[in-house]
Amino acid sequence: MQSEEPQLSSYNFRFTGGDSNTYVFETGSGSSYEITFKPSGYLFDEQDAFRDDVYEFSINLISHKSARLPLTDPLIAPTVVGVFQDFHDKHGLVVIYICDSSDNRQLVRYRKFGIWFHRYRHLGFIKMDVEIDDPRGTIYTSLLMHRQYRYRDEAVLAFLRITDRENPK
Amino acid sequence: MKTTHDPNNRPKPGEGLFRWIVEQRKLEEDKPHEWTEEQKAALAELRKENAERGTPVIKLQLPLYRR
Repeated sequence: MQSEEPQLSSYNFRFTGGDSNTYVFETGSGSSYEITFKPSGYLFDEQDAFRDDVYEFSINLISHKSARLPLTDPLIAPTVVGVFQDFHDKHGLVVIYICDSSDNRQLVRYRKFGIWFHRYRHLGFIKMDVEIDDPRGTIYTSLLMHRQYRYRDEAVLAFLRITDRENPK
Repeated sequence: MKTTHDPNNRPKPGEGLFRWIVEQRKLEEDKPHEWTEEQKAALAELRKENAERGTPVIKLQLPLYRR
């Protein structure tokens, strides 16, 4: 009899709440990740109607078992997308993603995020990228929302407005 | 020092707001991370589920920056 190996498409995850709307998941190699959606309406003006829907999204590797950083795991991207969709379905969100630049690998993250987005573009989300010039290194940031989001056009214009102020060229 | 997005202590757009966010995040990451009891319980459950489902076969992929 032929034994069947389990076919995994993503890792299970849990919503654990808190001020930053935290999700957690653990990979097969024992790496623990935290994904947060921090309420960030303060980025926009008080009159912006979508302000309460804005969250800053971040993915953090909290711990891993081996001394070396884990290899690229193909199940992480679909897990992150699953988390994103879960939170979106509950909150109808506008997301700001700002690449972590603490280790000067922000461009790598920015490109990887772009590849993930392209791979899952059929889910109906749109993304707008802006690079902010900064003396201490370029800041890569993206605005994401569903194509059908009711304040889509307003959110795009407002994102341009705030990033233009940061990037006055 | 406040390390969260304190509404009374942050620059406005055009005054380095995005740089400030990046720096706040770095401050938070530099602090030792402590899982809440709920998160510990969730991770224990997830670990168990991973073990029950089996370890996935992970294809070796070179990091993007080495391609």
